[in-house]
Amino acid sequence: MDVFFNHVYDLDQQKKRDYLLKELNQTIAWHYANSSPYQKLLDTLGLHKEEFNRLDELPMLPVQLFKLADLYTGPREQIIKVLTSSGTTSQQVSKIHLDRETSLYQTKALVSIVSSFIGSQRLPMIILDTKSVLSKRSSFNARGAGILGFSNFGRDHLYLLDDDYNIKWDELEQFRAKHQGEKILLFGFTFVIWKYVYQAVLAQNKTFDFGDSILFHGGGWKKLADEQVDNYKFNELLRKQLGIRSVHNYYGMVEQVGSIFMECEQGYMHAPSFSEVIIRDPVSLEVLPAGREGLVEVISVLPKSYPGNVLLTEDLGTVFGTDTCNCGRKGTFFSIKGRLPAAELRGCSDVYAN
Amino acid sequence: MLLLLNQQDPTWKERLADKVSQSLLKPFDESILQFLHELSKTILRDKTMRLYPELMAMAHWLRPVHLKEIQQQYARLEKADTILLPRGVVLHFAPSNVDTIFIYSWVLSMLVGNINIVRLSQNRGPQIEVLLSLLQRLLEKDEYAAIKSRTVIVSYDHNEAITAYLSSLCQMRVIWGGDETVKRIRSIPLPPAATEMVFADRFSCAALSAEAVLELEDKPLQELLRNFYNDAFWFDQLACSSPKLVCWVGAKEERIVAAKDKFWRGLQQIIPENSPLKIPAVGIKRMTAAYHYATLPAALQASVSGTELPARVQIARLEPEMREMHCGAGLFLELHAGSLSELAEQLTLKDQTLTVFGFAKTELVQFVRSAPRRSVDRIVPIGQALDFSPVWDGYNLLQYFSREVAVNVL
Repeated sequence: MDVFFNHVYDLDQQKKRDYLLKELNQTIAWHYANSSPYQKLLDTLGLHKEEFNRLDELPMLPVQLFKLADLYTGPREQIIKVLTSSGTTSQQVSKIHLDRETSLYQTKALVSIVSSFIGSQRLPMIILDTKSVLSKRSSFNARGAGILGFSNFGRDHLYLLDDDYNIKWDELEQFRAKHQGEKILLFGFTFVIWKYVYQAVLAQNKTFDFGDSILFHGGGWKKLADEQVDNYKFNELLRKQLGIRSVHNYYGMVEQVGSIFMECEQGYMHAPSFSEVIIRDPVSLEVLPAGREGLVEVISVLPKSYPGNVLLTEDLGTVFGTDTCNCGRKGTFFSIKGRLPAAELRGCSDVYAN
Repeated sequence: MLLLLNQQDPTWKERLADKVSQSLLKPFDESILQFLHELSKTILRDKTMRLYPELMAMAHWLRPVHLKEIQQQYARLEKADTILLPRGVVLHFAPSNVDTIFIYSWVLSMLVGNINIVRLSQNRGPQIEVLLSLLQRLLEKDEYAAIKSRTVIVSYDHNEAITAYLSSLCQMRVIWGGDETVKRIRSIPLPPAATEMVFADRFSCAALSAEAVLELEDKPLQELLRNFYNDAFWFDQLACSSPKLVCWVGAKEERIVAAKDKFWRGLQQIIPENSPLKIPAVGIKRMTAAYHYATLPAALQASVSGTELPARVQIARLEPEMREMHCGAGLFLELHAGSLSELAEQLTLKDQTLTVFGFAKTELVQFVRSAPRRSVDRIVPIGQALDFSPVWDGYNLLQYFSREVAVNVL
């Protein structure tokens, strides 16, 4: 596994594919032998093979399956935490079972990605969220996990929002005075930033300059798309209104924590060495060539304690190329357009259960 | 027509008070029959209505000849020393999405003479909007003033205070499921003398004789397929009576396999390109549910090709949790059985409709007798799963919507 973490953006595609295939064949065999629902699933669907010869042959699970079924691999006692996707109480949430090993890989993966953007020094850090997200330990969700994961890259953390989602202006001033001239790391979730930081600043008619600063944000565009804001515009507005020098959106999901796809300076998401992206036709699920928009399949070698290595998402995206991005990073680069348009089904469905 | 209620606007209570205090109409009053006849005629003659097969089916159901049959059924309920009268005010909670069921509930209650309040869900399908504007147009006419003044169709966001107020006005409350809705509304009190009828979540199956399917020539096969398609796909397979499990009955395994092949291959060809179930997001939902079934110990074999329609999972036995796991959308569980009694053993009170093809009536009677506890409320030929009948989930609605007065004097 170390070869992946040591070469996060500099493995040639050919080599990367070989490494991935070897690791994934072993991992899938491990899940097959140690998770009876997974074994049953592959057998029932006729998808089991001793060895897979290509990445696009690997059996993929629809990502929402983790909302329906409790899937983990190996003994239950080894599970040290269960991550859940964020969602309101009425919605079903994904349950992702992590053991020590997988959790460690997730950390290593995130470190290798982020440090390639900001170096290995810890920077003064502002979290564009409220600390109360972390306090509910029982409902340890994706948002909390993301904040904790990224917090490792910073020091002297400031949570910018109070419990009522108001900006803590005074503390922000103190923070800036204290770290005058230093590079500042910012992190948050796209929608929280948009609604409680950007729009609040706008409403109070303030402009702001974070100075030498870098922002990582993720968590999806569903609600922003309703407000007709795309990724490019979002980044642009943040630069203008808040003076954040460099803004990086990332694509990732709680079902594959750690292997996130970070946006480069050219505006493309990049697959790091330990993961891959394949675009498929939304109906036939045939692999589509670069340049064609389709469903996003994500592959990651990290999950060992649950069979989430190969997932079919409900997101639409387009691959633009491999190893040739002008930013200099190797790997497949792509963009995400958003969710598949939803369709409401009819039926005897419950007025309340929905 | 549609009264939108909210607590900020107190005037709706006054408007409602006027309606619920009207006198009651005679059962099967001429004005009611005429109104329903015109409603039926208007829909059947309007070509644009063909976009909404459920409305067409409803209009067909409302034809005078069929209402006459219903009137005869009603007449049979009356005996020498009892008189049937309306209950008074009936409050109907329509299900969020089987769009047209509110009409059947409303019509049967109206026919026997009640004043009706119908609560529609806030998210309504296009056919309901079409139907509402049509109703509005008809009820503007002078000759239907009696019906207009005795009908209220309302919609509001989940609001216990409004539900409680409406409940306080009624003599009978009807809740069309599912379980969660029934639970919530049931906890809201009714006047002491009022009564309630509820329809919980149900599951439905189809049973086909493998030999009978194999014998079919092309034309009757096409008819069977179209009928099955209508049963399963009209409400996106989410109506309580849409078949979700298909039981193949045959003595020989290879004959069952051949019959299945013939049937599903044919079905795939008649699913229209513009079926809402072919939308990719629905395809993924179907695939996810099929994969979920595939993880269960009782799963045998799944036929899931991409997100294509339909998806099928063969199971060794139908287990209770499998009913709740179903999400509609064109996914079929399949069971191979040597005889109908093997299916009967696995049914519970959750099971409502069994649609059948290729069985003799004696076999079916035998089946009903051998089925456990109170499972299966109706057996109809494939193609009639969604036909609404005045006897539903074991209730005779005509009877429930009426009160019986004994006049036991010689």
